[in-house]
Amino acid sequence: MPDGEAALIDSGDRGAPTVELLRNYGVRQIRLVIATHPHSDHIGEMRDILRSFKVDEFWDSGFNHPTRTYGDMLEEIRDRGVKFATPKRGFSSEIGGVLFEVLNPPEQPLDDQPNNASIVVRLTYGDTRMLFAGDAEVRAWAEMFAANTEGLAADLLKAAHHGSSNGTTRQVLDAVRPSIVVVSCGRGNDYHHPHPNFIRLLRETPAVSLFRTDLQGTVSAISDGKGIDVGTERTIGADRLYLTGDEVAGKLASDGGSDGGSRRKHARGGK
Amino acid sequence: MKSSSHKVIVDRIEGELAVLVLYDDDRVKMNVPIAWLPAGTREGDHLRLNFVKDQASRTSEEERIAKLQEELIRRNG
Repeated sequence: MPDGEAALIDSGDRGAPTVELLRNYGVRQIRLVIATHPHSDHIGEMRDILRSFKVDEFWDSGFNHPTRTYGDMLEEIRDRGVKFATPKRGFSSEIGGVLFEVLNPPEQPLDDQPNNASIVVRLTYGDTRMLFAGDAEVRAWAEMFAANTEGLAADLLKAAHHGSSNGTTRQVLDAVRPSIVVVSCGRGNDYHHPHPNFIRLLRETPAVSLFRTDLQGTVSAISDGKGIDVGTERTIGADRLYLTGDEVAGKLASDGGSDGGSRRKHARGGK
Repeated sequence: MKSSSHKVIVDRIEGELAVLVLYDDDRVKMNVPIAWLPAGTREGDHLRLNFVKDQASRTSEEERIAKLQEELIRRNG
């Protein structure tokens, strides 16, 4: 963040190299950790994060998901005396020079689906905004559209639910109007991420630049308050950018792609 | 018949697959078609996963393969 502090949204699955990555970025202390929702692919490394860094504050969805992974994470938060909160829609806080606005979940749970209980948060710094959507699905989005009459506009959208068909729809793109969409998904995953419907949607929306971790590796998006500079660990050809998850899984054996990364400067935000 | 039993948790359901996480070691995960699980299984459910050794099936397969091996060796011999 602009004042040098760090915030973390989700940890990745158990075994993900999140601690090492954060250390490589020079992180020693984390001002705020957000666990969007308690599925293991989002919180699996939280216990190690809490053991490896001093965490000042922790935001959780509050959804009761009766897994050992989630219980162990809560125990670690308790045992370390970390400040704990379950913020709901309408809550906002300025942290490290960045405004964090919580867009989901509402006060009352929508249903019994952890995905729809995801903390969806919009970060504003200067004229730029980034929206991190957790795994919010169609029902959660419908509630957000209705509740946020001033709109959900953001320059960068971290696509919901790894590019599944129910996380990012035309309605979502129309409401957020991003110029950048980043999809975080495992390479050759078993869950069809990113889904053909998501890929088709992005292909039909040329005003949006798509970035994807399965093919491009780590995606960094750095805001100077006026624009967002996006970089990738690996460069891929335009012909591969819109491959579906299943196509990537089928192409792994003959995978090519350059090792060199790239950076692209995106226009000023101000939505 | 020898068997072993493990507690697993339905961490999430992704389309037609349930992601099961071993209770005793959450590094161990498996994707299982939801059609294989008890009707009504939902995210967060705790299940017992039982492995039962099927010696008769193994023996039958060994016999089939032995016959095929003999047949192929005879044909090319």
